Amino acid sequence: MSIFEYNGSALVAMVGKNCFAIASDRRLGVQLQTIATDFQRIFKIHDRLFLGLSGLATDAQTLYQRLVFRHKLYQLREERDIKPETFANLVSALLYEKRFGPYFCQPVIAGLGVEDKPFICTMDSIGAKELAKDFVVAGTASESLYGACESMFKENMEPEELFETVSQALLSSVDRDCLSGWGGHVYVVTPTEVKERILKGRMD
Amino acid sequence: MGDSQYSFSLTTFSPSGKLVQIEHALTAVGSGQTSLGIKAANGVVIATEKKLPSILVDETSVQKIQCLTPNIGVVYSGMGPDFRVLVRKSRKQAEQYHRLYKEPIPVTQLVRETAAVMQEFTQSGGVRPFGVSLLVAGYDDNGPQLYQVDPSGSYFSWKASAMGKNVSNAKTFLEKRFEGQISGKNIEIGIIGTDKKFRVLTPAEIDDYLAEVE
Repeated sequence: MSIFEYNGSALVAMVGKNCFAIASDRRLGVQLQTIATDFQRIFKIHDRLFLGLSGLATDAQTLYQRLVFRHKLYQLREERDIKPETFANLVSALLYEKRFGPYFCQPVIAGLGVEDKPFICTMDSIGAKELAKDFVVAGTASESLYGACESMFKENMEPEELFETVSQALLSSVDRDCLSGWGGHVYVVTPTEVKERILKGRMD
Repeated sequence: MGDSQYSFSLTTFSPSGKLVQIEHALTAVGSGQTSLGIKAANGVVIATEKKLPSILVDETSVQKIQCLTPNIGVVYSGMGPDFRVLVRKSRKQAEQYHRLYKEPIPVTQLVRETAAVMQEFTQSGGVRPFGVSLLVAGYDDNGPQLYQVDPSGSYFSWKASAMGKNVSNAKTFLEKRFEGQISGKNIEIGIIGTDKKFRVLTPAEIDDYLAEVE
């Protein structure tokens, strides 16, 4: 079994009209055994920037701690929040530093940039960025997620419709993957508020 | 005076609390060619005297004003070779920032890092301070900015400034002719309460408190 499939994960981020949604599953497993059903994979960097980390859970937690550290110093030095595109470059550089002994994580970055324009991107475990205008996916359920998102995605969705779409895509995809699931965790972010919701799906 | 006995070592304070080597470095700057800078509402201008030792010198080969990044330039007063070293280091720092963030470095960050280099050379063994003061002019997301960096590593933001020879005359001229308001609070107040969050009061808040006191 690949190291990326050790813990199991599913992550998706989608762009809407002046908003974005980022969602993950909630299962933490050790191969076939489920250890936790409330594991957090999506982290807030600041009010308009969220980071999801799929892959090996320990690396996800450590990488998150390192990035929060870097961002706090950035905030103190530059007296402002980091832009999503800049943060993506920072993550990419950090991952490539460990090119020959990498973090076994695939990050998904979603944020609101200048003039509230939504920004999403993902990258592989050594920092190769993949920008997208519609959606990005990561984790053991990524193949199902690609299919579900491709068919359900529409441009310029309002926050409520975006939430429905992301939730349906996530739940239907993790149902086809034994290593991810046990509910969903969805954040819908607009310029004025962040709505966090828990989904109840097939609890297996 | 006890000071002169302490002027040999950079890393030793004199009894009067000064680092005499840095004072000497400032003197070296003060006898360098005049340079000055002015910040306008929509840009910054820096200029320097380019007096060459003889008419035989090829003046096109001498460049006293240099670019650190496409949107930040610098001029100096003092020792030319020291300036070249600082320009080289600053350019490298700006590029490293860009490599990490793919964003052009903000002027304040570059000034801070250059000043940190200059400060290192006032607290290490076997080195001497840089014999230059820099005027850094840049335009970034925070608008036009003008900074002066001294051999000690301290830096100041200016609306208009001059360095080198005849600096007092130049500054008097700028103060008289400059159209901005040269007023400012010369006190800073920071506060931490039961919320356990440290913050610095804004000048407006300080004004309010001062008005109450009066």
